[in-house]
Amino acid sequence: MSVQPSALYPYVYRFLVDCKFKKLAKDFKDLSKSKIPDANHPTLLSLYESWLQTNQTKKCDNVVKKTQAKKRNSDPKSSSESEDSSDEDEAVPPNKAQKLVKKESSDSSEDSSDDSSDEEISVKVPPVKKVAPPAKKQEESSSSEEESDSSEEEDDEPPVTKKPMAVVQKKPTKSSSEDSSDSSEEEVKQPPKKTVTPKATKKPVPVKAKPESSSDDESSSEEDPSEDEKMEVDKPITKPKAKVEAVKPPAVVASTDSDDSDDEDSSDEEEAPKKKVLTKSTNSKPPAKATPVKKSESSDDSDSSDDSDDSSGEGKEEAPAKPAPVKNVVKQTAAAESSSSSEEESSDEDSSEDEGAKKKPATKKAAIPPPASYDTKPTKPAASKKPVAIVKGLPKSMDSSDSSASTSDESSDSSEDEVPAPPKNTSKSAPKKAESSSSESSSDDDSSSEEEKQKTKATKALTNGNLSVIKTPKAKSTPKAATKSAVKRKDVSASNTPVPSKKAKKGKANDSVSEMTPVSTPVSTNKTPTSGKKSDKKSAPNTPFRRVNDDEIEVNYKFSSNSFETKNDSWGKAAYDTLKHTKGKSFRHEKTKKKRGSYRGGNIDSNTVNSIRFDSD
Amino acid sequence: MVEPHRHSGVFIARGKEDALVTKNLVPGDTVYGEKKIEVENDGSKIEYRAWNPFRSKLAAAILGGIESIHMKPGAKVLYLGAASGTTVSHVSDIVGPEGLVYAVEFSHRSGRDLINVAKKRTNIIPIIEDARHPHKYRMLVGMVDTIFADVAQPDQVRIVALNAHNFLKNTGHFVISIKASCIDSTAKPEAVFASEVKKMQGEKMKPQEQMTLEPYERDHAVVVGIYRPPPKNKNK
Repeated sequence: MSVQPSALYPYVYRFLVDCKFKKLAKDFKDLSKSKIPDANHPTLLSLYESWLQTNQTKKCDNVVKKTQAKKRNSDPKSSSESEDSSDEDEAVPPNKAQKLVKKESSDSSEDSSDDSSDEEISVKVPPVKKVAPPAKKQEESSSSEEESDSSEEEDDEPPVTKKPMAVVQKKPTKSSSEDSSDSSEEEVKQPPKKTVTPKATKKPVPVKAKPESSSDDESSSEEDPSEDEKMEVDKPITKPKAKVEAVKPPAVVASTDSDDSDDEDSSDEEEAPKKKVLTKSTNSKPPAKATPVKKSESSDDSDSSDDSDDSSGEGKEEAPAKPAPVKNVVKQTAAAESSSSSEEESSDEDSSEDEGAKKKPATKKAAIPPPASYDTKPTKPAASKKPVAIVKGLPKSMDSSDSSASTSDESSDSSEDEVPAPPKNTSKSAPKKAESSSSESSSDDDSSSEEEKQKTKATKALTNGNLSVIKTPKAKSTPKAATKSAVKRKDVSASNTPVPSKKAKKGKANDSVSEMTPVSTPVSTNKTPTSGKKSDKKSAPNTPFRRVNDDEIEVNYKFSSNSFETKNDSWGKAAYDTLKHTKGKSFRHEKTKKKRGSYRGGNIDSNTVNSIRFDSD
Repeated sequence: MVEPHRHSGVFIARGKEDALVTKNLVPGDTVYGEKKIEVENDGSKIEYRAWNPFRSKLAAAILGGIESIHMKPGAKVLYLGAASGTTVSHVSDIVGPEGLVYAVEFSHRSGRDLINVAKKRTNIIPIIEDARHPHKYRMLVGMVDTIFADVAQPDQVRIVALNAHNFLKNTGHFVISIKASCIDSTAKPEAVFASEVKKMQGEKMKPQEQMTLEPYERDHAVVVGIYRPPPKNKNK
């Protein structure tokens, strides 16, 4: 969870340049070795602006909790994941988190996100600590929706159990992430998926976020579901929407993004802890699954996008699913999600945790997995809304499936569609962290707001909403960035995915451990694959690989010059005179002529010794 | 007229333009199209081959004024990075019929030429193997007096050390040509050489002298040292 100040360097540098402190900026650049951020990236001012907004919207308490949770490090990440899961209710928090992350390398962003998305954070924290759950719920409910509360309550029960599951899941998740990519077996998955999905999603989410921006998408999708859920539950209540809307711009973006980013960061840094956290938040699970898949698999990008789509679809579906009538829809959505989740679940299931976790998750899952669980267990209220929600969920699921398919094929391709666009944003934000975070967050916010609206109106908006979100000022940069990120992701995922997948099971624990120590490092590593730029930024302290560091090698004054002048070679003098002016191609040309034997050096003195002896001799 | 060089086995052909030459082990045969110089001495003809310092780093070291190459007639030399065998052929001239040259080259393409050279020069034992794995050719190589290395690999000191541990006699010598850009092209050559020398010192290889290969090679240096020197008397 440690903050990486280096992540901010590019923005500070840009800020200095914007302020026309050229000399200062240059010095700063030299000292920090920071890279110049893309023009599309948000500026320090915009980041600060969004942070202020999020701050206002969210309660101080939330912030405090978030900060605490973040400080806890890996736990925070896991908590963030859990938050994400819980965040379904609150999609906004992730955005905030993303923004925050972007602003700050990771920790700071998380903190800010925490502030913005107190609910998420609070939720996360509790799971980690186990103490906070109620507070989280409250926060969530306050931040956004009553539904979230209900879901949270459900979730709350499981949290304790979730933790263990989460841990187990984490390992499985990696494998599951791959499974999730398979996504298309939802039928079986639905029941198990729900339980599994939450876990898997949680785990993956962090991973996704870190490695890829896709996590953002997921988070957004999560948010959507949460919103949907809220909407479903609260639909009658106009407050949720208003709240959401109000929150969305600042809080939503920050919260969703932040959650995602947090999750990602946390997951990257501390997979194990994250896993625990993940268990806490069922909602976050679906997204998490998607994220892990991305990380682990080459298809991560597509998976992530799929996941996001799925998650969004799930979220939508979930809302309908809760009602009970939605079951079919839920299944579909579940299938989409479950494909990943189910796969994950299968892995999870394999692990003993899954069983226990599943049961618990089922209760917890309410928000995310709920769809399936609801279907089987129509426990959720909001029947009145259910039909609508179902309808929405179906369309969404359709969209999600389409988007997912497109995304799977190519995240960039898919990005064209509404669904893809959000993922892109998220993906971009993740890699770009600071830059895209704002845009992503905005997109997330928009999406969340849109989702809310849609939920109230219909699910149709989702895609449109996403698009609109993208269009929104904050989002402006996102589309391009998203496409870029998508492309990057693809590449990265392709190259990276195999390794992650391999590592997935084993690596998760190891990775988590390794990541744990350097919280920032994990994020950077994840980012690196997704986007070299970000990684570079993180590694601002990064130095190019060198076998020999000029500064560290002490060169004896006797050997301080390798030039011809240091020796008395009369025969080679003529060659030196012609070659000393040459370079590159001309040097090669001149030397080739001498290789032919046409060189005449004059007299050879066989008794001169020009070598430099070492001291010991 | 040809006169011997300070390094035994190496000669200088005097004339309008002096040239570095070695006594051809296989009269009438050229290895890579080099010039032949025939000298009639007491009714018998002796053939020498010109040795171009722009094509051979060992020749560049000799012309540049290295103090000792530790190769003389009758010596056994392990030559790492033999390539096509052009320099190896001159080393085989230097060590003569009493000496031996174990020529290690990993590239099969170059190794083919090397084997063709070895076919006519019986004191060359070609070994087409990776010099990183001396155990693969340990059955072919006996103890040697000198190791010459021109492998241009980032870990070349390690490679030389591995072979020295296996085949180089105590107080034997090594001659290493270092191409700075093969170690680290971003660092200053002098720093690269210093770091390589430091590595040698950690492998019981005591460097004795270093010399630039300018103007024959760019950013190259040759380091000559002794392996497992006696406590007091470091020199051969």
